[in-house]
Amino acid sequence: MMLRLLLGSVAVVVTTLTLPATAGEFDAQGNYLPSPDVVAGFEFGADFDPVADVLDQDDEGVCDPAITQLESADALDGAHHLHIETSYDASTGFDAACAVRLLFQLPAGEGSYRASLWMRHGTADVQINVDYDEDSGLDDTRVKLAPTGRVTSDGWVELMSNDFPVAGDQTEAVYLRVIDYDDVGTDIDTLELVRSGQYRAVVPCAGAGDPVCGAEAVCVYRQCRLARTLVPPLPAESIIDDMVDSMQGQLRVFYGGRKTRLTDLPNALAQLDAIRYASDAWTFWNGWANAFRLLHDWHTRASGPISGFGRDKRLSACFIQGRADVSQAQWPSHAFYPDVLVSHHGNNGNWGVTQGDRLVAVDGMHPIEWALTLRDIDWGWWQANTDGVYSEMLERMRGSITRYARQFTVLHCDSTGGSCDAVAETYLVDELPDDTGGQIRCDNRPFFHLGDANPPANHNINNFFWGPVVEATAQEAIYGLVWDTLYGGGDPNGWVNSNLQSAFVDFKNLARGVVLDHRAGNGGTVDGAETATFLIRPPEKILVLASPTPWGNWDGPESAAEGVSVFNQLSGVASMTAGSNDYDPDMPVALVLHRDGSASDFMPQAFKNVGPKVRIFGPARTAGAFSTYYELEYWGGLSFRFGSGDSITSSGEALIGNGVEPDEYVVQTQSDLLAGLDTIHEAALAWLRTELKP
Amino acid sequence: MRSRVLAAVVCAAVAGCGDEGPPNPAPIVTPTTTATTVTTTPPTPEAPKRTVSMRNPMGGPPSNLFIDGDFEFSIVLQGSGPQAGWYSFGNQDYVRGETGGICRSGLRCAVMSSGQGLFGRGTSAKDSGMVAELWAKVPEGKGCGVVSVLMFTCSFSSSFGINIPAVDSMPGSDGWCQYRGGINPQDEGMCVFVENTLESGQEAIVDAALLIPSDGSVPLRAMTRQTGARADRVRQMATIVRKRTPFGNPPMGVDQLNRARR
Repeated sequence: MMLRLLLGSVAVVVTTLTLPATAGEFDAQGNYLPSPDVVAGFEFGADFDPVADVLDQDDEGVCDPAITQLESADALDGAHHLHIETSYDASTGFDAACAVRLLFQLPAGEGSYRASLWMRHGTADVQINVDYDEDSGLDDTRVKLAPTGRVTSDGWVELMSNDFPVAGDQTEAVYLRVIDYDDVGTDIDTLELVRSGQYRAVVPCAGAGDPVCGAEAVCVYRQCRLARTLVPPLPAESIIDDMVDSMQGQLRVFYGGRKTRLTDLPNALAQLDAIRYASDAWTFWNGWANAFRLLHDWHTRASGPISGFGRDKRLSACFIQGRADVSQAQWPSHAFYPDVLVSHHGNNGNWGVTQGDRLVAVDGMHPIEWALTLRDIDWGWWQANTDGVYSEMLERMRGSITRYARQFTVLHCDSTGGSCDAVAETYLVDELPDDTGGQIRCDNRPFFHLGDANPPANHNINNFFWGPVVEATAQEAIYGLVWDTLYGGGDPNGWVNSNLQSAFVDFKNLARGVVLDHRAGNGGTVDGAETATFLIRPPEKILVLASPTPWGNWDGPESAAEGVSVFNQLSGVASMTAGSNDYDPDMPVALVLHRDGSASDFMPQAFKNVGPKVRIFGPARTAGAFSTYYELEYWGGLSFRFGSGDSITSSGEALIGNGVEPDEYVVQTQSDLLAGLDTIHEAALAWLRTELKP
Repeated sequence: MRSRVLAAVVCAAVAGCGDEGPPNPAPIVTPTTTATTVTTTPPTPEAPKRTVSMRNPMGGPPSNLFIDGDFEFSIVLQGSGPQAGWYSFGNQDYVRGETGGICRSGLRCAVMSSGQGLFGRGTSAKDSGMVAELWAKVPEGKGCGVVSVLMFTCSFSSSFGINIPAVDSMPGSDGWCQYRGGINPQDEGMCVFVENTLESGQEAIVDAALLIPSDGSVPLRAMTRQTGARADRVRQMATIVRKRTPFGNPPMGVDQLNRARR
């Protein structure tokens, strides 16, 4: 373990670059001059003990990260650096438990520090872990390191953290944790910890936006989280404009389709312009992430470790859009947003919030109105391209509540009497018991209807489920299929395509009507969407995939005529051909939707205008996410994904943002829910009975 | 726009930083004294151990029609498969990265080994010809011909492509080869296929792929039908990429990995 001496006299040597005062510098010959303020770290020479300084958390002996101390002329500092190779197994990938962990000691007492490390070759995920004694009551701290932009001609890249607090008297272990990305490994050198900033204790907060958290912190699970520790440093003035120019340029060239480019891209670009003037790291990087959220696209988001933190509360209940027809007297509907009902609940951890109840408020607002306030801070934000569609927000609602809300208000209703309480109950999130395990999955299905063929009771739709619908008579022979994925992967005999085709064979042989229940349509690949239409129509090329965007900076077709021209241009390149010559023209098929996007947009698009035997039922349009996306990874655990391109119909229409409209708008009613009835399914069933196959 | 005063000061001392035109040249030593014209031969300064520069971790330039021409976002966890800007094929199934000043620009670049190739994704300029450019640092003693660069429409549905030739047969004094050529306007997105004829154990660094609307600096050429083994490899890769293009939520991605890591 090394504690560096002050080197102030050396640091006056002319340097090539000026960085924050505490960073190490280089002299004219390229020799590294350590920071004069180092309080802990390694130069990985004699100061490093490859046994005593390595944290071994692997009692089982399954991990064997290789740490090699190398003497080298091009070590950054001193004569040594480390070469590390974390365990990698081709069949299982990386096991994070097998990371390299190097212990160091920080001074006693409360302090605030900044860490820097140099790495080269390959890439690596680097963080400082501060683990506290269990009885300290303090949460362990994770601190990401990411590039400052400073590099050397021999490959070294400077990684740095933002300031992070440490209660030095209560730590169990403080260590550098490194995972390299490949089976070749990465060099690291010169870990430096310097004092920087002021100590900040983790303090409790009430909910999102609580000002008690102050700058660069957000209230998550009712604790002020120092968010800056989980994002890269604020870019230096010398590169910040170039970085923002690159971010904007990439979006200008590649992002979106016609609607999202014309309507939403300008908002994101303006947000990126604003972060040129950011004065702290969180403002910059959260602003960057918010730009992706402003793109208003089902596929698009920035992700990062800020989305972590262990959930401390559980609300095992799921919410859907509905019509609260039995509780208007107690709580009238909002003028703009739809009512929110409890679709189904888990057996424990529901805290009395049960099927048929109504979520009337979160933090005093309509639940959707409240959810919309989270965009500035919620890196898990998920939104349909189609305006006015809230299914994604409602599917995430229970998680958003436990993560960000102070309180929520529920109007309890009784399934026995079909009535609701006179007064709603308000829950304080902080007073919910702590989480003790799993919770029911939200798939927008209040009930299943396949008897023995039903999906599991936890609503985990990880398979294809089909069989006779229990509400139908044997003579009616109405069959149903429940599934959520269309990820065929281009394999006609793969799991998705073969299951769909097997179900359709059974339907053609046994059924007189079919309910296709795809109420949590996660999309997939085009072939899966195509296969899902094999039962209902003859073949037809229904759209071309101008996605990812075939032309940079292209705003989509400006007219139907241009759209038709694009359709013809791309027709032989990438398209969706729906239907099959083996379809069953006599079979009535009801497609039941609720929250569906991407390939799960394409599929219902192919169900439109097919004829009298095909009908779509649902409460709202689909997400309108008619594109694929690019997925790019930055440093420090940050990644970003954005939709690129559009889909164009044979009539020249650009589809992005124009979700498929149900043929029959059906909203789950509260009265049906309390009576054990699935309103949308019932509507589908009623229609099928009028159209049964002879 | 933020003041660039400080940037200008720093960039005056450090070659290449902030340059959003052609790819940055390899960093050069930063003089610490003002250059002076002298009549006598000055003492030869000791060669610096290394030079230092500031680079844009987001890569560039902003107008690049390659989604990740600078390789800043495609060096990912081995075994993970995001919809990235580059895919590896041949004898290595992931894009291995190099770093810092070893790269021509930005913070990251690709290491291409013998038997390995790279498939890069991009788009096209609408109603315009294009200029494609790429840089490769080849092993000492090797000519630029050990690396080949083929541009083609991403679907490769028509089997048309065009070779982007090396500007010189031998690398420059810094070891880098430049490949540059013009392409006629195209009706769909453009991708690039980079291969090599390196001997076993040898590697090349690949970086700074650039595709921009034609600026008239190079003649535009029509693509031609590609045949043979290389065309087969391109077709195979293009088919895989197309079939696996996701329209929906992907399998476990890096954000989930973030949550999983402790």
